[in-house]
Amino acid sequence: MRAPESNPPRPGRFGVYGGQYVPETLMPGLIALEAAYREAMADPSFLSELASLLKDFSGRPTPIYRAVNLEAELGGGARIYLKREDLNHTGAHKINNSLGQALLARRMGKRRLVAETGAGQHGVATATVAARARMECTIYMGALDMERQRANVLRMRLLGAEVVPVHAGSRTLKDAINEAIRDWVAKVETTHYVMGSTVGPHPYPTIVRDFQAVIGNEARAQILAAEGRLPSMVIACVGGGSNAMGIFNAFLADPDVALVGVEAGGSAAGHSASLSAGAPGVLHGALSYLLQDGDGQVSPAHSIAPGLDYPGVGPQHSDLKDSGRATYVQVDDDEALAAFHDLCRFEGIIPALESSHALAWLRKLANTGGLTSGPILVNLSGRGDKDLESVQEVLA
Amino acid sequence: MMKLTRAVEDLRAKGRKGVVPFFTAGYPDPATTLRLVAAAQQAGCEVVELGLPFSDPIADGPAIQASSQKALAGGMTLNGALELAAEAARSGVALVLMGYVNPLLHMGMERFADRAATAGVAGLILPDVPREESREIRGLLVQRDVAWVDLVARTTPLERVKVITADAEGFVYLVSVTGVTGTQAPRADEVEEFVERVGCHTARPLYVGFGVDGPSLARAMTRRADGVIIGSALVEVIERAGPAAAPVAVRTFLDEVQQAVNPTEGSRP
Repeated sequence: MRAPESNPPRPGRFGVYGGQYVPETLMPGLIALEAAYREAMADPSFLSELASLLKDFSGRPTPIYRAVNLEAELGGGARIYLKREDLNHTGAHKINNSLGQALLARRMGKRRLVAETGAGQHGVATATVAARARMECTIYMGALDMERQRANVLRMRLLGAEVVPVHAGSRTLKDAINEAIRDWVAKVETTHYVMGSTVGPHPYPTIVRDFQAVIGNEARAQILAAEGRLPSMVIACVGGGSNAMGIFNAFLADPDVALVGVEAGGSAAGHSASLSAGAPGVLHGALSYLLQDGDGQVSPAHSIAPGLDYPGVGPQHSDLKDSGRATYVQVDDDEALAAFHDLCRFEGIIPALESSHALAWLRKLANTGGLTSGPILVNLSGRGDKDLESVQEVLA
Repeated sequence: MMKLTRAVEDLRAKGRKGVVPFFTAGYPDPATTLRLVAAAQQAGCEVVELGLPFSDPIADGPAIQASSQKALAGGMTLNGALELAAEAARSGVALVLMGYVNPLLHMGMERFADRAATAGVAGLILPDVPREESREIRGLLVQRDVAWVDLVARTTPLERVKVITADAEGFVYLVSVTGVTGTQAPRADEVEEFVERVGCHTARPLYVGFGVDGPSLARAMTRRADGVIIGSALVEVIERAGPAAAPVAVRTFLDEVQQAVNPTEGSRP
């Protein structure tokens, strides 16, 4: 196993992955962003303001919760802990990053935030921090995603954001990012782009990982307190990969902790398993695993979970895959739905369809005798209120 | 001197401004693309850009997004575009390919560079490959007499302009607006100031693109710049005319642009 790169050896690279494949118009903005970010992270007043917002505004630390009923249902004997990111204000881990980036934007003198959103959770989080910071906010969202996450569209509008439907391509997250980047190219001097996942050009994969690292830092201390040991395995779903990077980050240097990223295996209509089934390529500013056809055109992704419905993935995950430090697997739409129902019925928690993919891996482990040793830590990255309509449609 | 550098320097030596049309390979269909390139040559365009369609063109506005989608839907591939380029280049036009990096990476950069050189291509523009990421591909191209064309943006600071233009070949592509292609018209006074600023740091000809929509803007842009690049406006001309009439419509449009930017020549035969 090769040592994975925790910090890019040359600007913006994790091993060979990452980089800055963007129009020249954006380059000065990215260079300025990197400088502002480095300064901010070395500034105690920035860090303490962020820490107090995470605590008082978002409700951190989020607890870890031992899912005893799920343990009994699955069998095997391993103790299972859920990191309750679903209890954050706005309902998912996305707020960790949006709060950090809004403070960064203010530091850089920007008065407008632009963001993409898939499931709507990052859009809601960004609209929320924009409202609080009294900034203008524009959210790009695929037209298909607007249909399947209507509640989040309403929430963003209530929070004062302009939600712009994107009708191009597959009308999902990939196309929303294209439009958000085009918006940013046109308004880079006044606007900060709040990238919602560990994707995009350097320094975004690093910035988003660092703002999400609070998940793993808390969980590591919490499980040590509860169990007196590290988990044997950490499981998280991977679309772009921000909740997974956030929780993996604290365990990268612990070789005995297995890190498992669960991608969306989709259905007969397609999948979003970039790491499991893609090949290295450039999309949205970075070199990383990518779903593409024989001509290097980006292939449409599919998942029942809009937040995973993306043909690319963060560059650090690509490096973790190649180095062998993390393992990437997939579960399909039906398996994710089954796990969704399990958590509702056995634990009284309605998980997001994205997070349900991570939960579904537990069933796979149980079926292959892999649930015997623990403790196992699962990142419950968000709650499922937004998914009620989609789930109801499938049930109907 | 590289082929593309020679083409634009010859033009400058004759005191003429460059008019560089952009056509998406395979739009509206491959055969028509070739006729469009021929029409551009008849209109006196010595340099022509051929767009390599990509599924996710982040530097392009709606017109070129649509032409790319139509070309891909019609079955155009990087291989197909290189075959078109080889045919088009036979006429002696200096052909510059413009595309996005992923299909090239997928083919393999070295193989792409070989194919482009064999096709007789004069230059390459990749709007998603800034200076920081360009070293390998630039090296492969230069060895094969294919120029790497750098872009300079309105947001590019002076120090960076110097670095980018230090070893520029062919022309330097000035992105006239802070934005994507074909969505806003550049302001003549701002572009003049921009051209002057960049011109202090390079002897290479300066060509202005993004948002140049017709004769009057082209004329205003070339008061200081050495040439203009016209893309989205041509997609609209082609779309309006339909495939059969597109070559004539493009010829007429480019004749008007030539008249506007090189007025002393009188009407062409």
